[in-house]
Amino acid sequence: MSDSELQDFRRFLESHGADRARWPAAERLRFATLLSSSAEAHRALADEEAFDAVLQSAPGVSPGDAARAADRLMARLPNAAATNVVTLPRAKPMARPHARSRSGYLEAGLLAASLMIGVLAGTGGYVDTSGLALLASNEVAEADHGAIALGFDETAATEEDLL
Amino acid sequence: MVSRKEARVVTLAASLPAEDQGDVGRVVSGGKASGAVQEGDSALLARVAREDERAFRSLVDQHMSRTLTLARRILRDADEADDIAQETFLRLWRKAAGIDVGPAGVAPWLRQVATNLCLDRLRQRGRLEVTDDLPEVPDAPRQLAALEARDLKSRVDEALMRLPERQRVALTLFQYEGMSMAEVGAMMGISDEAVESLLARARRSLKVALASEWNELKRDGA
Repeated sequence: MSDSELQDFRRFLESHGADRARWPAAERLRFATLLSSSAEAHRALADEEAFDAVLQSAPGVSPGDAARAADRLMARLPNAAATNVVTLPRAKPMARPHARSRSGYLEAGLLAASLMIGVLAGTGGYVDTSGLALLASNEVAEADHGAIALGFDETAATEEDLL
Repeated sequence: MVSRKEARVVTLAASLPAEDQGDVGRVVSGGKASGAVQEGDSALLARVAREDERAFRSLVDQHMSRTLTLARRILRDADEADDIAQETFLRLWRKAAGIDVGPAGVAPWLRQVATNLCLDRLRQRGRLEVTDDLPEVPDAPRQLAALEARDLKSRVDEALMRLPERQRVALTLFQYEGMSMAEVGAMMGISDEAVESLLARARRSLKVALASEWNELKRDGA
């Protein structure tokens, strides 16, 4: 055994730790001879095992904290499920055309029915059309078209009058 | 016959909560999982894919503690860690149908998602780069004096929290999550050699910070 080999072993332990099951196969083989013949190598390994044990005493999350986190997660779950439904690609093409075609038929039917009623009412004399005749005689045309269109009120004071 | 050091290690493990004792065994055994784990997780995942909330709760109960611990160790912030754990499990809920369960069950998937989310969080804040420039070895005497009155777990926890970001991430994934150096390197986007260096620096710092505990164990074994 050489000093450099022992140094290599110490350096290897510094990064890999003492758990031989986790060492790469090549290093397990390489250091097996050293460990069988060197008390110093054995001591270095034992020290590293002790340090691994110290590290393993690091605390984890308490069962209470984990349970509370699980409860919060489950409370959020219905929202997550709703999001899933919205993002499913099959939802859009399935629903819309069907609904649109139904409402389209209904609107067309109502329009046709109202047209028929209008025609029947007009031709059967159920509607007073004298107002229409008045419009046709242009009596309304005597009024000032511009004033009607612009909404002028001749009785109201203008801004110029006030000044 | 059990040596004094082995007895001390057993005592250390026995002082931990049940879930942490499981962690000790898991790391020592190299993270190997039984077929029963895979079978159980597969069946539960299939039910989760059908939006079975009870199956999901069962998976959450099994894995929440470990996921939360991983996130806390990396982020050093309980609220942020909770956010990460929640997001990790919500992704499991949404993507259950597409997850392939390996021999170790759903745990590796959860670990990978949680780790990536943590690393993203660190990168967003620029902490991953900035804190790596901190001194490698903390002021040991002052730190030890401040820590004297506290119990072992608190001291180890505080020493871990004082590590620079990248060292702590590497150590968490390698030491506590049982990942190989190659896996840690792939996760962090660095070479195996860089991981090795981070681990060595992390352990050197911790040996200084936890010298009294370590020496006590070494004396026990002498």
